Amino acid sequence: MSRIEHLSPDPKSHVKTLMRIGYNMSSAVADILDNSIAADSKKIEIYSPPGLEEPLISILDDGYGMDAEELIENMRIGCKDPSDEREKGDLGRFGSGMKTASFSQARRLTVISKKSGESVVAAIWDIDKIEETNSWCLEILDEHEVSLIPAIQIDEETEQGTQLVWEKLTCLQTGSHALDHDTELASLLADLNQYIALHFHRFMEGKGKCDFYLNNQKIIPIDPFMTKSDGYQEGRSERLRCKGGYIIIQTHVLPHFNRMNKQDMERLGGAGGITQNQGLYIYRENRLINAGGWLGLAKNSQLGALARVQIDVPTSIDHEWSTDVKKSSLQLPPRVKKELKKFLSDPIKRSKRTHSYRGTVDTANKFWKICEDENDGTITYQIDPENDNLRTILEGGTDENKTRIIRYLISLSKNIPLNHIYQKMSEKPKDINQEDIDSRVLESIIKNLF
Amino acid sequence: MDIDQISACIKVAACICARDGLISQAEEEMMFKLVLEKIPEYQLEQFNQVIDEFFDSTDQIEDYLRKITTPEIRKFTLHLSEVSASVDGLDIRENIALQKAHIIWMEMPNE
Repeated sequence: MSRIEHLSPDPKSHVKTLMRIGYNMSSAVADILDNSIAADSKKIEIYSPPGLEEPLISILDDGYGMDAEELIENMRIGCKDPSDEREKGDLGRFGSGMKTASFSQARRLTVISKKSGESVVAAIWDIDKIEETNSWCLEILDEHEVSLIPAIQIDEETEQGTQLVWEKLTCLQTGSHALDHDTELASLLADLNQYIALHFHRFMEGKGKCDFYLNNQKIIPIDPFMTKSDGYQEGRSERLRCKGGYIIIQTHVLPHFNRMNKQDMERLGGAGGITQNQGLYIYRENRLINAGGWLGLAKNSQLGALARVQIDVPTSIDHEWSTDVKKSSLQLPPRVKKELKKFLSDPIKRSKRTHSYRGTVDTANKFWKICEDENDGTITYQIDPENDNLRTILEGGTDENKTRIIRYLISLSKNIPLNHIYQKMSEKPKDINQEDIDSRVLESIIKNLF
Repeated sequence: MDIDQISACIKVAACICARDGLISQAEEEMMFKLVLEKIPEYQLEQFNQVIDEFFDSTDQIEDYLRKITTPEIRKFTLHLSEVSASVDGLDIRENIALQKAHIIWMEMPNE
């Protein structure tokens, strides 16, 4: 007869697995911020003091906070059942985010919290201790020990809030080729600033907004759709009723690169970043979890660079979207895929139109002809032989000169630096200036001839 | 038609439209429009509540069909379901659910 053997995971090995769940620093901090948002925080401060021999990262919020019992329960790995329906505004999923995100970046996690009207409480997960004792030994601090926590910002005077401190950081490189910690942290924090500005942009504006600070500097939200810019086009929208609310689909087309504000454009990653990040923007309870890419529904293209489809999903259907522990990936349910397909053609088509409108002007220009050969599938840019000025020049010259000019013009056409133009148009379209070219060319010809 | 019966009608239509867990905006709007044509005083809030109950419930289409017993209301329910589900193209699964409703009612005695 069969028997049941209860096998709990070995803590020493288990914690090593949890440390390698695949977070980067930005997605790990984002997971902590989800908890702060769920606790109705109005101010969140991320701070990493420079110049420390042992660097640390602190995340402080002014949300509800926890009492001793709640803190201990929340320090448990998998403290919530993923199949339990989350309340509206709760961004959690597996009840493991705070711990796994922290373990992926640091070997020591201290959580200090204060609930309104209660005392300050603190607990520590230290991976070195877990490995040493091979047990899930949570350290609960007494009043005196709490005051000794490095960078602590919560005390009995604090109304409410929670602070996390990551020490023994593993997100920093070590070894002979590693940068110094301050340089490396500065680079990680710059990426983090960008990540938070984009992924939490909806929480930074409007009623009940929350202010985010990174090393005392306020994070400015990034609107991925540039809805307030001239030339922005709002497209079709649709609501799909589902369990727990609506899936809302809204299409957007960004303004053409030439109409974008230079600063806004840089914040979205420049022309290259904007092209690369075309696609689906999926928000789970207002938090952006997928920033671009078509998830197999369409292909990235230069002409579709400006197309964006915003999808708002309630947490009640997490199980259908297969959100992972990091909440950074998901799979589209078949019906949503089908509905989305109806929408994709609209922003892509309008993005193409935004581009090709300018293409048409180029075609209409009296100096160049664009010959598209459908049989060969080739496109050729040629000097327009019908140009009136060119005809006048050729009519006035000798046959020898005519031949020379024509040969020169053919060579000129053959040698357009197309690759260079393509590269620069993708990277820095605003830096290209063809307007002031006349005087420079003329001056150089006159100087050489006379 | 009383409130319970109209709720059952809407839930049958919702069952047919939401075979894959979602009701499109067009389907939802059509459903409400047809209900309003039948009962002009019916409120949007009531309609939304019925749809929420539908999503929160584990009842199957048979359970809702069983609650509708008069031929006139059955006729209206089938019309409501068919027109709403067809508004953005009748999906194979929606069509099968609709056929199932027809068959079940054929086998079920009228009041």
